[in-house]
Amino acid sequence: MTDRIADPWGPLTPLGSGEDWVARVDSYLDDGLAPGAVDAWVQSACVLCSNGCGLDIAVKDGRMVGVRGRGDDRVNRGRLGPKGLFGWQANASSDRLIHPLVRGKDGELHETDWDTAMQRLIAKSRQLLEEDGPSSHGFYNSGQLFIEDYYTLALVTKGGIGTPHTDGNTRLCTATAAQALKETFGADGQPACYEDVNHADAFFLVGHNVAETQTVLWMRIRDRLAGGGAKLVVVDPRRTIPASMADVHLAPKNGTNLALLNAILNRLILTDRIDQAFVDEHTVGFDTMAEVVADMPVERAAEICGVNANDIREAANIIGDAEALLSTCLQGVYQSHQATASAVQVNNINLVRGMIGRPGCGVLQMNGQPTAQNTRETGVNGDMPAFRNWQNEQHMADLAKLWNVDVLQIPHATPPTHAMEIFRYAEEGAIRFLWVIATNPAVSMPELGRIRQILSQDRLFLVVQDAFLTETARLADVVLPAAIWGEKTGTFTNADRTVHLSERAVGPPGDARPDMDIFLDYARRMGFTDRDGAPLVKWSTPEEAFEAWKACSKGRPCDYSGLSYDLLRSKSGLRWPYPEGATEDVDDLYADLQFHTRSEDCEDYGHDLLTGASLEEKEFRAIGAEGRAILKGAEYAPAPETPDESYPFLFSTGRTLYQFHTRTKTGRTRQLQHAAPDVWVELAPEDAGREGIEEGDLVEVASARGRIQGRARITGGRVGVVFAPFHYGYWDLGRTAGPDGREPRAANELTITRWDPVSKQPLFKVAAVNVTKVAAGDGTPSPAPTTAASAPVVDVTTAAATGDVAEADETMEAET
Amino acid sequence: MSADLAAAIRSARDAETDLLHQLRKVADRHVADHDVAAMCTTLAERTQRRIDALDSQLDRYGSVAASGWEGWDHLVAGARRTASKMTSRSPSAGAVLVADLRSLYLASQEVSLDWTLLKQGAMVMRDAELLEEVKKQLPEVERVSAWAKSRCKLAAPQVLAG
Repeated sequence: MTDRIADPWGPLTPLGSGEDWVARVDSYLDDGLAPGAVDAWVQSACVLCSNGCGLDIAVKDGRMVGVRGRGDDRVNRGRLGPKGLFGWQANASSDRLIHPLVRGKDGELHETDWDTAMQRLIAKSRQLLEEDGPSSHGFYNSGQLFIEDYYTLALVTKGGIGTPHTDGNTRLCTATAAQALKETFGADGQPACYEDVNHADAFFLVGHNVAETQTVLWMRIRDRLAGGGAKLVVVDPRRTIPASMADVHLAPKNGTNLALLNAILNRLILTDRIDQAFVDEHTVGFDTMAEVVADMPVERAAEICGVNANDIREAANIIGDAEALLSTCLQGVYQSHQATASAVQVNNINLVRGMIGRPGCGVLQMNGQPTAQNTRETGVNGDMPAFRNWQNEQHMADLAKLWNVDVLQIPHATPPTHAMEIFRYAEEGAIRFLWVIATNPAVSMPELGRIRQILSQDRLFLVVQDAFLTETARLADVVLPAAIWGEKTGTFTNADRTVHLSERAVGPPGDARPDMDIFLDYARRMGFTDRDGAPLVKWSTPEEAFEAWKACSKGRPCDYSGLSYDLLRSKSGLRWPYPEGATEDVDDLYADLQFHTRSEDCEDYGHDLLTGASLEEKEFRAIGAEGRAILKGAEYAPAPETPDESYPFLFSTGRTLYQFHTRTKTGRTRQLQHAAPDVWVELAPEDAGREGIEEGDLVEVASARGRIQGRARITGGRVGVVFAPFHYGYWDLGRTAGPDGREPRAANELTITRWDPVSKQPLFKVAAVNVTKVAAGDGTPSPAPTTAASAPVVDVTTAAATGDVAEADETMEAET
Repeated sequence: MSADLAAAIRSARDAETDLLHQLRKVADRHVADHDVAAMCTTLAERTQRRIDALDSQLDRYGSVAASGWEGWDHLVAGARRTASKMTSRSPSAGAVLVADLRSLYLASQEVSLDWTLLKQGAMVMRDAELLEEVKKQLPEVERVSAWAKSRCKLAAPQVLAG
């Protein structure tokens, strides 16, 4: 038994090179409940990060009473992180939405029935479609739904309404991962898999605080390091757990990733660590890329990034001497400027070293959310379904045939509109019907003052579909209560292409409905039909929706056609591609070194990495990749906002291990909320000393756009950088969306409205702020957890240990 | 040294200067389209670098640019930004954006053609230094065209459907 709040990762199980990871089955049941007392264990997987750990949901008397990791699941071999162990309790929160709400003439939201709510919604939708056409409608969805929900939404919005304006909040977390894969390999799809950790002898973690964002992936990496013979290089301005264990920790200034990565490539070339035969045979573009990085010698990068030149050389040595290199990226790369260009350089590092497509070698362009991969695959994340290319007429004709609609019904004059542009269209009044599904932009998007203003407009009809009355839902005209994980059946895919089936364990509360059923109801009421006048959507159950998705994916890189609910029930997670007739799945996507870069096959023709200009087919053909990977270079440019006299600090938002997103579920889980109850502000000791700030003092952080207050935590982060977690909004302060009472605390009050020109992912890691002390603390430490990157540099009374309420059971394989 | 080639360099410089003014203007007129304003500012800086490169070439030909006139940009930038904020929530903002990006694309095409003609001149005059400069700068000019066209294509459907 371990207190998994105080020790989030649990006992070590060292993993030697090439060994299998032994099972360790973690479980947590309601207080005092014995495993034998459980009525049923229902197969599922965790939805509180992108790792997708296989688990079973314990059910007793029709209630969820706990979870247990699946020992046979390849992703986690039974392990669960704190969010997985405890987060399920939020399903039974007393403040779940159980009835639809509509805004009355009095300006307040009132409970109503589904018929009334849907009639209100349908009347508005019909009116706007008649007056202004499909482009008046926008849909902003999530990384939290299932394939069946997403694919239904894709068909309804693209084939039914015909609007190009559908995107997911995955734009904020994983758009760059997808785009970097498209630029280099021609299509989305994770090259590596988690078993590569078992075989790797060097890890290169770039802007990826894996110990907090994917706790179970970190357990595997940590075990591999404990097994011996593996090195670790970490790039992170904060002193994260991986950084503290690294052979080399590079802590660059926020907004300088590309300079650092170009210098590492430069060094690999200068020290002749290039696998020239691999480069010649399996890539194009080496010379142009080499020319770009030639401008970034190590010394220049050291100056720009504010790191020691010898550390860069040492990092390049480890990368250059590795025989099995596994590189990973996450938000430190994706939410900075030049995001795609930087992520692409990480692809390049592995490619020039020939480190891809075999055990231990590859790149994990990580996802943030549990089902972000499916948002991308099904085409509700600014993509077309099954990685089809919007510029490829044949792809669009195939899709139209599959859906039995006219090809011009499917909007493909442009790529599907990205989230930041959807909000811009709403701002200028071009979009007047916005349907927000399972996401909370009033807390998660940049520059919240602007976002609240957009969402509060009278001329905008706002529909919010969620399980809780979020800050965004409070601004809605119609609120639709949704069933969530554990209350509906569906499938989803994690960051290493592993597909899990998640079965319904309990019924949804009150009148809440599965998201797919809500979309089906909308389509039926709107009367959407195919070319023959038959109903457009031809399924009504999750399994039928999955079968339809299989047909859509058939022959595409993300081929699901050989999978089925029955097969997924008999195995605990299978990877795509899994074409019809397959008997086993593949670990490394590019084992055959045939990349998706043929023009008739590719998902995207790519972009100019500096401007984001889309390449057209003839330009893509001129690259001549034809199945080889594409090496693209880009020169470093300074961040759009850098510190000055008024705002002398760099500001970055981020995550804590114990919370997820805007805390919709984790904030309603007693152990997790107790572990990280309120916002805090991290400062380096030197900065705090200069400003006269001590642990626990109340400080105000202000940017040109807004301000927040929080208690100071003095950490080992980079000097000149201020950090605050973005999880904390206003719903549990008893207030509406805006900071209208107590002082504001949502980190995105400060962030800038700016995005990467290629992936369109907003910048959360580069803004300029100032910091002032508001009041001295009373000796109580900051509410920041003491366990990970927010650990204090001096001992403070720990709030993280919670005693027996957070004790989880771990059973080692040898004991079972 | 050819006086005609110097004239061609001056022509390219004039075209670049016009493009520079347009980039600044579009940046100031579309402050609420954050990506457009930011990219125009970036591209304006890079355009200024090309103008400086052309001035170096003119030096070699013993010629100077026709005018040091900087245009009205600096005088009206503030007013443009204020006006831009005021109209940013109007449905007509999209149409203005498409029109401005269209003009920008056309201006970049003139620059592109002028640099192409410089390449022809450099080859016939066997001016290796000028030729090297053209080879370096022409992809930069094409990058402006590609972006303006790409962004214009993105913005047009919403306007044309309205």
